Amino acid sequence: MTCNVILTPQNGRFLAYVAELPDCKAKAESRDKALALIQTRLEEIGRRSEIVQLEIPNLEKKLGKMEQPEKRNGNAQPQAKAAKPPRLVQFPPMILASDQTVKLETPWEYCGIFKDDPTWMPMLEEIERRRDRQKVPKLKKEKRRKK
Amino acid sequence: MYLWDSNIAVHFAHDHPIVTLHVRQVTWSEIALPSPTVAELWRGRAEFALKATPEQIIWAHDQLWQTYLLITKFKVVLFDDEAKEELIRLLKKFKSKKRYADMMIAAMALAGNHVVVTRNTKHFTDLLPPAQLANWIDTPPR
Repeated sequence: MTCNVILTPQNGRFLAYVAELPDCKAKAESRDKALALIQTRLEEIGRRSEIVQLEIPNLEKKLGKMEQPEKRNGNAQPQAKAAKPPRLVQFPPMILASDQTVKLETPWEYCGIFKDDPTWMPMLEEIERRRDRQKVPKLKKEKRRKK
Repeated sequence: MYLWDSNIAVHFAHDHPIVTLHVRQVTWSEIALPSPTVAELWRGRAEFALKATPEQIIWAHDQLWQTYLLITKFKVVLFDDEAKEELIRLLKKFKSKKRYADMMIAAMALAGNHVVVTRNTKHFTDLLPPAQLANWIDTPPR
């Protein structure tokens, strides 16, 4: 597989990232080192992860790789836009603990599902920070009845 | 039931070895997420999805979806009248001004006689008896 690596000089260093994998980044003092680092990371992903091809509408256009329209009668004709189905998902229901009829199996496929997600653990830090800041609401004072 | 605090759910999805060992020792139907945990996980992911740059946007929204699917793998405990009364009792008893979600989860545990599973046991020691508190991250199963 060939990947599009975007190399950008940044404050005397080189930032490399893969267009299709924005979280796969590398920074080094030289262009060659940045490319070598990103290659290592991609190889690591290749070893550990499954790569599934998904149809992403308009991605080619956004990457500036739109194929040139065919010339008809010497004039460029606009390409007919292929109708691609939207990515629809159906949200399954949450299961209430009070519902004794539903038996759930241990979802081992979800154990470690976000292990390689660089935003997952920072999210927990933010949850903890918010909890520390979260104020307890004041209870409404009970009105005393006049005798 | 074992009510998971957010830190346990996050570590389960991060493949924490001790959490995994504990999970193997119970049946999955004994584990549930209290609704404050659901709210915190969802808010964390939703905020990332809503702030994602164009480069991150597809991935960020896919992760939001995957987080929802993760939540649906658990049973969820909602507040009921008993838990609400326990919460009011805790608010009157403890004059703490912060960490309201701890009180919510503790109130749910007291009302339903559940065990709160958390890494932050120190925040719950005043709220719950020791038998209703467990740490599945720093304490391996026997």
